[in-house]
Amino acid sequence: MALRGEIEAVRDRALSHLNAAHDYYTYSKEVWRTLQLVVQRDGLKFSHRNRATNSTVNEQNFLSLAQRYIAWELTSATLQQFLSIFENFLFEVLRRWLLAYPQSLSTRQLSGKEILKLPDKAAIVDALVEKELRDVFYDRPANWF
Amino acid sequence: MIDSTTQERIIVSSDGTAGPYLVVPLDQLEFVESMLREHQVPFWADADAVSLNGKPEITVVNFGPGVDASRVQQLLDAAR
Repeated sequence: MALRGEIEAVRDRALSHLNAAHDYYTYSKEVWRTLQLVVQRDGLKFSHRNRATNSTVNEQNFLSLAQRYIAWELTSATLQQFLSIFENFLFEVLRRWLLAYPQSLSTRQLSGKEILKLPDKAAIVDALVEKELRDVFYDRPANWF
Repeated sequence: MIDSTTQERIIVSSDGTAGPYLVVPLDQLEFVESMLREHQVPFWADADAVSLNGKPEITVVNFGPGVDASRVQQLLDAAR
């Protein structure tokens, strides 16, 4: 597949994952909202026990938990998921770009030990790309500049 | 302020630690939002609405933990 096609496929996967994450956020929130409203307006009563922690909650405890879960926990977890999807998208695009144009890595070096473990030039380019991506994504940001 | 779907007073809930919030029918949201802006009360409204048992849609207006629930309640009570 040409580079453009590969990048478009990566983009489409990322957008699909973003949509799924947004649906999860929205409908989870709506379930909490529905529960809040049914307790407040229809007087639903219940209690739950978490057998792992032995904590027990009733419908009144759930009202306060629900607002915190919606306003803070679910929102921040979804933001982290969005960032993770974007990071993965960027990683995949850069990987494909560098594999298509490896000349930009011509000043990068592998040790003799690393090279001797590899079967051919394509594998060496792969290793250079992986090294570059590891440095970009996992190095301290202060070392980028 | 009276909830147009229940004909009851709109109450600011302050249960929990995430900040106050209030439930408002969608057709009254615009009024509530403009009133809050006018009085410089920071808030955000849910981007979606819930309809229970086919009744009119309702949504939630959220306030941060720093917002005084009793002040918002006074503003609502004074609104007609």
